[in-house]
Amino acid sequence: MMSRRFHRALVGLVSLIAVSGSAWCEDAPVSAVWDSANGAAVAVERNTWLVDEVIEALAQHHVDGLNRAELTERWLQVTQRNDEVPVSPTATLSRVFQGLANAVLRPSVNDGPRSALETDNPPTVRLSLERLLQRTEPSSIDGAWMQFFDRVPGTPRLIPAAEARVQAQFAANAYVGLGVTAGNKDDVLVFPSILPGGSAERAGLPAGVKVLAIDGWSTLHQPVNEGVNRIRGPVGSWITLRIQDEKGERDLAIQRDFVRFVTVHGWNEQPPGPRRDNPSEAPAPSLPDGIAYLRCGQLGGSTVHELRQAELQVRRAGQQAVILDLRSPERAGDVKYAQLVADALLDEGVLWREVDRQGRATEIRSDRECLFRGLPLAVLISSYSQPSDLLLAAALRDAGRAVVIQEHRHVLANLGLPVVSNPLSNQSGQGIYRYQEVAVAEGRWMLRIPTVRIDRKEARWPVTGDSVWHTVHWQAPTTGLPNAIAPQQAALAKESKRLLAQNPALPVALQRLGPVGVAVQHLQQALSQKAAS
Amino acid sequence: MSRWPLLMAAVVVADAVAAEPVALPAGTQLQRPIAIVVWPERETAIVALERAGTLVEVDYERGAVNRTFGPFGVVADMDRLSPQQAIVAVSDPPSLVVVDVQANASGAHSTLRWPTRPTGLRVSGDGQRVAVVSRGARLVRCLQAADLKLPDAGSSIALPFQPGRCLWLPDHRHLLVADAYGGRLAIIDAAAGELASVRSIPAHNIAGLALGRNGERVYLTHQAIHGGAQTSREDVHWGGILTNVLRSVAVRDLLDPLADVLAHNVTVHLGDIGRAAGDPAGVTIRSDGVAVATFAGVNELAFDRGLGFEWKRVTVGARPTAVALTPDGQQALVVNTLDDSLSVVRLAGEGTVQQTIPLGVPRELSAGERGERFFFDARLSHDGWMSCHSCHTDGHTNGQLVDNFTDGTEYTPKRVLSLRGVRDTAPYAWDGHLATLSDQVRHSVTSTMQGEPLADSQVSDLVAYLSTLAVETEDRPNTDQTLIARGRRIFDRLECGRCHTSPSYTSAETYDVGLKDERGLDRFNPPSLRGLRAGDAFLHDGRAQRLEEVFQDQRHRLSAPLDEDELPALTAFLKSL
Repeated sequence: MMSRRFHRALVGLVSLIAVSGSAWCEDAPVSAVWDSANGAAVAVERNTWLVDEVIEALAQHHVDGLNRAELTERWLQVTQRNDEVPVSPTATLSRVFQGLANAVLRPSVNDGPRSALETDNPPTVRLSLERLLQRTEPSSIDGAWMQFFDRVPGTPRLIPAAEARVQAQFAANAYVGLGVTAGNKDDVLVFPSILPGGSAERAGLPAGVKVLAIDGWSTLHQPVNEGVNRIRGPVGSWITLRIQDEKGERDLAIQRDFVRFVTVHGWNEQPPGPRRDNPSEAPAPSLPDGIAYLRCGQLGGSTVHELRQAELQVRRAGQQAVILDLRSPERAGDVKYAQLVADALLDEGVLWREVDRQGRATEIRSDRECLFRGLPLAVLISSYSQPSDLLLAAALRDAGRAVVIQEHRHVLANLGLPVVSNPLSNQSGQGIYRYQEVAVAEGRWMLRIPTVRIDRKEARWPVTGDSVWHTVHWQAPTTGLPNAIAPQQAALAKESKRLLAQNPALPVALQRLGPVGVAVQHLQQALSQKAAS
Repeated sequence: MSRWPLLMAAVVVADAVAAEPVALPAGTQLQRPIAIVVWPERETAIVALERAGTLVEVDYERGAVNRTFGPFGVVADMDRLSPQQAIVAVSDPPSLVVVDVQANASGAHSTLRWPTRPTGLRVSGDGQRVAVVSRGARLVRCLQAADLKLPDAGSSIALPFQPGRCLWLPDHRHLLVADAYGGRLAIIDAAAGELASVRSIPAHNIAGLALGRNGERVYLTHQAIHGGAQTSREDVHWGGILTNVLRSVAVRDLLDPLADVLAHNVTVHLGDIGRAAGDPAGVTIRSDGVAVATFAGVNELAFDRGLGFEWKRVTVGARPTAVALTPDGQQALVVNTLDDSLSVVRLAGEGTVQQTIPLGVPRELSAGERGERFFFDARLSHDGWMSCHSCHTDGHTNGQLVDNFTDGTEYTPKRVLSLRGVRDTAPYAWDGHLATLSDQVRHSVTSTMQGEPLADSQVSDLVAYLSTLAVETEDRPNTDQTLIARGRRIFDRLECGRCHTSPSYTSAETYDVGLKDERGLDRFNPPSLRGLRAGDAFLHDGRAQRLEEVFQDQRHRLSAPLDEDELPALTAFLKSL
């Protein structure tokens, strides 16, 4: 009974994440791809081979110059600890849930580079409990990998080769597919939503359509990720779907195409105000006219292009200052694109320094091209922001181009676990890295290795905002644990008060805008200084 | 600053002027119209034809060529000197020609020999001053129009870059000179006869300059390459690696040598994903502020009322490089350089090509001419972002670093090499892995430009064109031959010729010369040393800004430093190649 409640709770959380995540970005545990069809023993044996390869690759390429002995020791630490856990059905189930909880919770509450086996949108929850139970042994291998990578600076990641290609597509905003989200209903594949501009929309697929077969392969009782893998393919190739909607069953051929995402939103939108626990409260007031609000959901291949277009709109509207909101990433960002965006927003100067394995430091510089030139800029980050977002914020702040407003978000989940999150709190000594992918396991896997360490121009990691805002997200528990939560709430309230006391006094009207209000306050100050000079 | 005697050979020639309409020039090659000036008094336009070496007067209402002036040689530029006269820069033989365009029966003209090859000229708005630039010689000379007949008029001013376009500012005293390849801008004070300032903007291929409607701003069309991006499909697709730009800067910032020239800059990124605007070129601003520009790489004329929000784009002829407006501003006259034609475009609604006026006799193009069209055609690239010319400006180099995967790695940007004399410098790429020019062409189009694979015929046409690109020899510095001979002896003693082997001054192998790129590549194919004097940066990543630095700072292949008097001799020899 408890487990079922637990599971439901997790599904609830995931649905929140899935809204902002890429719902078809499937996970791929080692066990699933590293061919365990021949049984757990074979999987374990192959895993040993993989361990050797991974340690060798890390020893060769990791920026910190870790040696084989150190890495082997860390691997033994995690595997020996796992071995100590008695393998009983209950214990295994508990461990599976633990891994699941990690996979689900950590992306939402912890911002460091994630371990290899956590994906942006863990779909494991879509699997039935029975399926999870069937994967006991390989799952324990996965768990060991996760713990091992957590013990390596920069948290390397092991990604199936196909998944790595897809992640690169996402980063560059060049994902190839049909433009759908995928889920499971009545034990068949469904597309809960159809993305605008994708080939599924052009083919007239309705949201919620059931997909009974893909190129003749029945989706009945099949996991969503297998369906998603079959939907993916080269751009321009054709796929035949057997679909069922209100018009009945029929076959439909659709051509795979690029699915482009908008990464910069909001030049004509109002920003979301602070979360309202009481829906009857008046909505947050509008932004002052002269201040543009841009919400960036990803630092991707298209972001600079979109910012250029946004600049035209901002200038046409005669707006005098810009808020760039990096608090709610929708897809994983990339250091490369953080560099391109930082370069585009900065007029000449050092963005940061990159240090390679030999300790050679290279200054990464910006050219003189500068979007929003002359307009004061405020950047919002939160505990959800990606490392690439934090890198951008740090570069802009270190160059004096922007003020950074940092929102601490505290999630009170109905597990009763308040999480006081702080960007990079767990990696403060590690910082941010550029990664290079090295093929392992006969090219089936890509090992993403931190090969270059990024140092800030002058300051150290983590990036700390010029101002801090404190937000407590409250989710009403489906099954209450109010007694457990109450003391945590009290502790948070105290912390919140302490942090907010560090900010300059905020006018009441701006308080209603939450951290955006703090940004407005900074920008108004900058504008009045500019006018005075 | 040096002064040269201006030799004037005052000639009055009676040119044959045929009855209207005249027969069009029917040369053996494209006539290449390159410049246009509208003549309101005659309700016509004068167009300069580079290869035909002539000026033609075009009645754009009637759609016919009225008269032809010349030929004068190879025409580089033309402007209006007075209501009666046009002035022509002739690069071969180096001269200025003043043409009386009002004369009815004959095109009387006078020719002034010019000491260097003039490559561009502009007459100030009040008609009082003339500026003549010489690209290879890196000189600009400003003189009073009234002094054009004097043997020693004006003074020449040395520039730290090769000048391209120039524009008189509204005070008729200061001249803006743009880099022919990179992003430097110089301001010349013509009254004082001196270089007032040199500054840089993030740009290359500055192909158009125009004054804004009230004279407060200068508009520039150019391209820009962005560091940190590669020539991957995605970075090309999103305009991450290269953008096409219309930029305006404040005249007051240009005039103040201490001001940041970009302080009041407005940048408009031209084109969009799916439909880029490769190689923006000619630009003019209408009296009501409408910007009119040619996108030479995609054969379009574009105009925009709101400066960047609602461009209307109209297809014109091949490689439109220059544009002028009719006196009422309702029509744009577009010079299609590789089509020998003039497009008359109505600037209303979506824009309409009202007529296309031929300026030469259509005929089958040679392989080299077809290749030239491909070279300047951005439609060979993904979505039209760039042509070969975008990086290899006019067959030379834009001087930029580009991360283009040619050596198989990323984050290893390399200096764009000049293509002058390229047929003799196989193998290609910095690591020398492309054996033939055809290989390089195929690679550049599909990899760097992310275009579709070329047909064999397109490749051979491009190679035919590239084979015509020669090292410019006319601009060799007039250096003491004894010094050059001494430099040659040093070159031989140091055995530079082992890698840089005469006569092409390159060789087929790769060598470890003590340099490493960001990914550890330490073997490079030596670039040819021919035409080195036209370079603005040296070594694979442009780390040496001057030739002297290659030896002084980088100590390129030197076991011991050169003696103080050896360096000038060696560099003099190298610059003579």
